[in-house]
Amino acid sequence: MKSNSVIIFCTHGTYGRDDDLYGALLASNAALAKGMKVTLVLVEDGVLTAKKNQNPSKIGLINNLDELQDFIDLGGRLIVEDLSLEERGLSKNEILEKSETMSLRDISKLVEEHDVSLTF
Amino acid sequence: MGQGDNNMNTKTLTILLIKGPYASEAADIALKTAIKAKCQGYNVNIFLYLDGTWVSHLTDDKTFNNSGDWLKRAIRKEVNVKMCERCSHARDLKKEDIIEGIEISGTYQFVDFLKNSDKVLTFGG
Repeated sequence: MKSNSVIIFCTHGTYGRDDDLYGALLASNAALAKGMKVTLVLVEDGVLTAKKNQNPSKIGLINNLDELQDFIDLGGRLIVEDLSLEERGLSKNEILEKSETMSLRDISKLVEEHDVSLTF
Repeated sequence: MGQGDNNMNTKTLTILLIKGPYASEAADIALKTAIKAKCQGYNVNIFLYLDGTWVSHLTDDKTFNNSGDWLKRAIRKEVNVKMCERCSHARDLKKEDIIEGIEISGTYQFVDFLKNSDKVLTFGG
């Protein structure tokens, strides 16, 4: 085995481009289930993924919070970029408690701690 | 080096393609990168994911640029190509509709690609 850890960047928001995000979450959870260390980083519109109390049932889509909860339960690390959050008028108490907010500078250091990276 | 060559001295590159053809240049650049890496001695995997699975559907000849031709060329050069089963099902892409030589497989096979790769590139993100 050459790679045992992956950092996955999600740059798109929920539901409007749900396939990208859903695909990222499915890949993340599969990697966790196969024993990899996985860090999911939400940046730009991706930070909307971590917003509490989402309810897309009226537009007939699956709630991404279900997959995100699985990610956390499986031991994944969830990072939300602080500036992207602020730019979208969101505060830390509006996003999932088990997420960590972090600056881009610190996120860039995190990349060094992983074998491979993916961007969705 | 043949398909699935796991020689420890051979570097492995995995390419994740998540965007379909014509919407952008992502598919063409991904496939050209795969072919070039293969020619330079890499063991190369491609995983078609999300809208990237549409490239597999370009089976016919065209009079203009055709990502399907690049994909066929990559397969002829023994690039290992798999595509996501769930994404294929969502788009009604069936084995008989796609370019020969592509394996429809689950997300776990993509994770296996990741684990056995020295480098991973995402195209279309």
